[in-house]
Amino acid sequence: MRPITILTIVGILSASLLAVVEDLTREPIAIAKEQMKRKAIEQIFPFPFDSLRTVTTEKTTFYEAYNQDNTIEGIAVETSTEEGYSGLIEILLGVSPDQKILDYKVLFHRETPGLGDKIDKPKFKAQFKGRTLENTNWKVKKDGGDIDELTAATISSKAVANAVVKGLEFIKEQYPKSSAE
Amino acid sequence: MNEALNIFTRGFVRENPVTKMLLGLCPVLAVTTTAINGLGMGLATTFVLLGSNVVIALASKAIPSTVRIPSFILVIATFVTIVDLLIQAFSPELNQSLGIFIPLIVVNCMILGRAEAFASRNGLWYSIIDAIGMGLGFTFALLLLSIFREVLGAGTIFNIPLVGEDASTILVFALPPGAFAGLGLIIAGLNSLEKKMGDKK
Repeated sequence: MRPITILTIVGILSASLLAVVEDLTREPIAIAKEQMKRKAIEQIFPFPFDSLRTVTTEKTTFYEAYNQDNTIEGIAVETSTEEGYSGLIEILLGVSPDQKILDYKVLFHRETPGLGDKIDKPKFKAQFKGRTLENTNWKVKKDGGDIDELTAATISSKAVANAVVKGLEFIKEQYPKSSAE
Repeated sequence: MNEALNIFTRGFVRENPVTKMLLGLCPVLAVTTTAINGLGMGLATTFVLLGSNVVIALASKAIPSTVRIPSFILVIATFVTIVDLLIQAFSPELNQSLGIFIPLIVVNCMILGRAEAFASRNGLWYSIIDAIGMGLGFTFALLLLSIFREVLGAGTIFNIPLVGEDASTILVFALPPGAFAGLGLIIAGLNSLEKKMGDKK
């Protein structure tokens, strides 16, 4: 047989095998992604919730957590910034219905291990609890604001603050009525 | 059976892809920040190596030498994609931390090296032994380096903290320079150990 025939056969066999595997794993992958998201949302809300509704807009995705009586207990929003020390930082920000911060979780980052990656540690995150767009000067302390920056990771800290502000603004836009006075 | 043992120990010790041949160092240096990453990467690579060695040992006679390399790459890429999909489906956490390095197993020269140097010239049984020896040797080296780096750089082992959260660790071992330094120390340590054992004989 000519080499080209052999190569074609190898290609066809590979492609067929991959098609089968892709078909078998498509559903588990979708489920795994959904579970990862659900887990992240469960981590940022300090209460158990009954159901989750996803609202997708042009800018981002919102997740509304409802309790058994179908009242909204919390809103999570996907937000991000390109201003991290190594570029993109993606954050899932959770707020209460009156738009006070509950907690956030870093979904993606490439910050320096041991320095910038502390943006995902409870110690740094704790200071965001209860803050709103209005009650906080969203600059770092070094620049005269309210946010305690991480030692040797000011850029990462600023980036997180920016992403959080962006998230709060998304929420304010999407849910204008429930905004805190 | 002796020959099988010989092939296995060659992969694991005498021609260990990482500590002796210095092959496939990109993933070795890049993903060994935590023990779980190192172990995951090592086992994923072993799976690909096993798959490609088996297929190539069986099919090499049918493949003319002119299209040998592209065929091998196709086989390897197929197995890498399978591993990538399986990890995405069943271990999303590992997928998140290894990310791009799983697809990059394709360009790990160790795998093409074994296909070309061993599997295409030997039978199925020996090719399987070779893949297991080389693969576990690779995994072992990754695990050593990643434990070394995780303990010193992050103060944890398999994500279990060894020191308090506020304790300062030797950060450089978590960063790329620490990967080079750590690998150098481990190779030096293993070589001197081997030399000592050789002297006793």
